[in-house]
Amino acid sequence: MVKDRKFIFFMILPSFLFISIVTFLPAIRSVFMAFQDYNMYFLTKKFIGFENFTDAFSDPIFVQAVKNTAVWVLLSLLLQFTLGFSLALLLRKPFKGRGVYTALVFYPWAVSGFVIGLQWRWMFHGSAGVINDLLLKAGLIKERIAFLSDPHYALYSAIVANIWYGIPFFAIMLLAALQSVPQELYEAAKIDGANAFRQFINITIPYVKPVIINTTLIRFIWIVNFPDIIFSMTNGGPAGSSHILSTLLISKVYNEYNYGVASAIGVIIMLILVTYAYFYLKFSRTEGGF
Amino acid sequence: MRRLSVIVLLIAVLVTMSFGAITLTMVETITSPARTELLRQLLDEFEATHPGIKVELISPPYESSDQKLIMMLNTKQKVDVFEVRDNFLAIHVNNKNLLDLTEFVKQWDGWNDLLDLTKTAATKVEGKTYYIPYGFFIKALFYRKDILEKNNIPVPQTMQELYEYAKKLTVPSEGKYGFAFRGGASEHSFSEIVIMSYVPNIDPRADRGYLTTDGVPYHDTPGAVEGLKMWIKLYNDCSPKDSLNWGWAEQVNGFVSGMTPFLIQDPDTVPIVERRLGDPNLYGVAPMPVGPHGKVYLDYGNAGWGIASYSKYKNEAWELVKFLSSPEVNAKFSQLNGTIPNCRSAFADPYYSTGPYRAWYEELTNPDKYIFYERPVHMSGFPAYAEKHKNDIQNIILGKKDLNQAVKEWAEFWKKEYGIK
Repeated sequence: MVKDRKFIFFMILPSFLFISIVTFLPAIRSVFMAFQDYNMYFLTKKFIGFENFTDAFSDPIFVQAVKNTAVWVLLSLLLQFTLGFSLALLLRKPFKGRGVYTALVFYPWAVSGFVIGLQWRWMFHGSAGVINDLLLKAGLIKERIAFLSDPHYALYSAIVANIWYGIPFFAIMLLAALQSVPQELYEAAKIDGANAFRQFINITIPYVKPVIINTTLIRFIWIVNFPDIIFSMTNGGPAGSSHILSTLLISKVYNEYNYGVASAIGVIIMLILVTYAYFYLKFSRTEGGF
Repeated sequence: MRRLSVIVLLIAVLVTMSFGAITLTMVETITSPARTELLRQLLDEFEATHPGIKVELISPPYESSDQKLIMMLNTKQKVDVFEVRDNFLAIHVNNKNLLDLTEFVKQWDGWNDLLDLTKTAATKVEGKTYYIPYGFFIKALFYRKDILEKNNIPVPQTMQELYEYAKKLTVPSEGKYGFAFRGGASEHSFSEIVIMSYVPNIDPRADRGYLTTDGVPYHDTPGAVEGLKMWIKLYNDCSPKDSLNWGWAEQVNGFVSGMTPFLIQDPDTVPIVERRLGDPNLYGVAPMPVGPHGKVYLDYGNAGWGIASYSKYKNEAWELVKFLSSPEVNAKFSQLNGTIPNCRSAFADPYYSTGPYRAWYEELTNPDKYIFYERPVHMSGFPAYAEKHKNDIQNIILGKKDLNQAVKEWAEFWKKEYGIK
């Protein structure tokens, strides 16, 4: 037993070291940077206590970004999940051309977030975009909407793109889970006189629940940390109205070269995610999820 | 066996030591595939004329190239020659990563051929030559010849005329506008041209960026307020709504598609505009319109080649910088790069003395009308200011911020940076 353990430890060691160097070290370093005066102009790296955090909190754009992050994550996650799940249910039954259709549905998942952002940026373009064109032709609007330059629409335009991007993830994961539900259960339920809705609630949901919990947890974290689409569509604008925390972080690095405040924002994101994951897992475990 | 391999190894070391070429590592940051290809060709020429020196070119992707270069320099990775952009010059000097070239320059004939502006830029930090600028980005006014002719509108000479003509061209219901407004990233390098042209007394000295000759920030002077109002009128009356968040791509797209026939841009936009329009007669470039005081202040963005302070091959690196800064190589590079060349002899080339580049020649040779100044990009507050300026102007237009409040804040910002009470 002891020998086995040693062997296991030995086998894990390389990957543990690797992960430590490429993941944990930078993470710890960034926590240090959050307390330093770290900008590209003067590499003084002086420790300045919580100044970076107070700087961040006193910035109205930061406050806006916190609110936006909540809207961005909840709307994206909810719609990605609902639409993805619906799609998985539709794709469960075999039909002609299902393979091709499935491949097409999964396509967005294979495209880089930046490219998606660029595509949607032109589609939402205020004067030359196809979305404005369609809405005009359908008679739904009278004049073109400056989607990406209007604070009322900018964030939501990015959310639309993000939903489009994220649906396949849920569809893939949930389709796999659905296919593992034994058919006999449905047959038995049918004999007992359960209708489709009851079958869904009493058989399908309990069976795929662990996958639902896992995927929504992972996806939540990904969406919080997914600046690509907003960055390439609106760059957080206009006037910072579509920033989420992770795009604000990038903007602090790329536009202001201020690594200290950026790291402080990074630490705040990390704290939010750790807290979220803790409660989410605790809650779902007591429900018998894992 | 072991002895044999030791001998082979020794011989190999000796051979590389005696015949081995020196390898210079060069990092470019304003990268694009076409430019990298040209640079590589030029470096091949250099290698051919300088036996014993090889040059390895590193071209990080543009989006993160500056960060990558700074990281390489700060961790003292092997870099000999690198591209120095004006806004990073102060960072490189502060971090002691740039070699002072003053001694090298003293023995270099090419120095006298450089434009005065090139010399000013090269020596702006402590009077020491830290880099040799290869060219300039200076703004000028692009206009659609065909559209102006059709509407019987002349090329504007003043900001007021620019506004009036642009307004005449604007018919929102037909998707026609006059002006390609810039509201997104780096908007300050557009808005400030219009705003500052209303200020009578900007101090053009390099270490006095944004100050007037009275020694105060220009931002809340009466002229600047008037200029800012003009800039906002250009948006409200002459530009598409979504230009509030426009960047370079949208601006150029608006110009090429004919939606916005007036465009303020840098010379590197010329090749792209020309290629996309397909006909050089469809557009022209004019010197920047002037403000009510008969002048306009232009920033001269630039980049050049410098040598890492810790380079082991400083002499060879200087050879390379000299080669890249020679008139023939510089002219070739400038044509592709779209920058205004760095030396007098290049302007003898018809490519620069005629056609669209004529506008920049006018700007460079009329110092009473076109006054070159430098934004205080070397000061650590600058990036935060640029971000604030962008957000504030967007908020003013959106009705979320008071214009007078904004100009006061900008002035306060720079008073603090300069330590003015």
